[in-house]
Amino acid sequence: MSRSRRLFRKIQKSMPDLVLCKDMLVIPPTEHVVRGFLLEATSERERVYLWKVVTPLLRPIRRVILNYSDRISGGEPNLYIRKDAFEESAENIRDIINEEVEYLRGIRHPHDFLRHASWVVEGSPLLARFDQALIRYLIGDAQQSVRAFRALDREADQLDDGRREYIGPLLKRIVLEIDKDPAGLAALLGEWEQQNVERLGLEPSRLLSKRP
Amino acid sequence: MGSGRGHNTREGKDRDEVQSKTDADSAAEAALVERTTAILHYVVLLVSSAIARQPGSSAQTHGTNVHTAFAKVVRKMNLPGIGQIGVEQSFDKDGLASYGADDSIRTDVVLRNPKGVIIAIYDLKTGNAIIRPSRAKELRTLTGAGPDVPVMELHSVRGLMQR
Repeated sequence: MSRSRRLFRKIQKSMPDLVLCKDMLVIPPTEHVVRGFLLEATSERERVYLWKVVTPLLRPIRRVILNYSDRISGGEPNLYIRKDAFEESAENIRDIINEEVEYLRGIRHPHDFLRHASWVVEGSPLLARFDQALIRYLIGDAQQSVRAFRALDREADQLDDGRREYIGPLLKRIVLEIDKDPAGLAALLGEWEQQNVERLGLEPSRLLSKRP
Repeated sequence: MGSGRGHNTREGKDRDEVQSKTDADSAAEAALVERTTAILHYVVLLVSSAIARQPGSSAQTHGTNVHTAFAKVVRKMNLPGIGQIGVEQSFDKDGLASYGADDSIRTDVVLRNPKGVIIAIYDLKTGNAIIRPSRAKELRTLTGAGPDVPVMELHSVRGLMQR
């Protein structure tokens, strides 16, 4: 069992509302956006980064992307998981997580995500504008998002092969769907989302936990 | 990436105004890159002089120690466009990844403009290590940075090199 999973399993015992999905502690229910906490190793032994994760699931991803996430440390300069003080390390991280749970609960719906990622504007990175357009489509802003997809597709055509490799085919697929039937795009996004849920092991967090 | 990034747009700007804004943005970005590069180079010099290579330790261990100390200092400085998050960030084709993920690369520092666009990438090198053109290309590709984004090599002895 990984260090992350061991630590989060310990924390989860005192925070039963959260769900452990692979190596990530997730706030249920996961709908179109996954929210939770993730540990990242560093080049220094035992030092970790703790991420407050917000990741939309509408485009195919192989793992949780951290573009909309933040590193948190509860004001400490560095966070460690000490092998010889595992309990203490877990308590420290639990306390930091505890401070952030309510904020993440508030990023449940697509329009919450738009508020969270309000730094995404015209001229922001292509992937960020792509995510924004996908979310806008989901909340019913179909006309504007369809225009955005077409513009992003044209923009992606100008990229070099390396940068187009991931986003290019996705945009082509979306434009193809739009040309057939703009309303049909919802099915494709649903399919991608479900694939992400399976790939990232998020199924247990799809259901809302029983809260007192 | 932190939220709360502001950006003012105004309808009805004529082309000259837009162009002038674009020029102003470009000039501000260039100034930010220049200022940040100077600061980071200075940090490399300080860190490298403070971290002595231990007798019997390998070049690799020394390099790791310098990288670790450099990252700590830069995070603590919380520099504009870098903050906490622009230090030791990993990327793959899907976006920001966590360290060690397959097909991902780790950057030492990335500098972003207020819209979240990467405007410079910094790679710290120690000893004889250099950034090869293939590495610079890989860094730009996986971070989604444009071909004009500078990849800066930071080295305490060789100084600064743009790749």
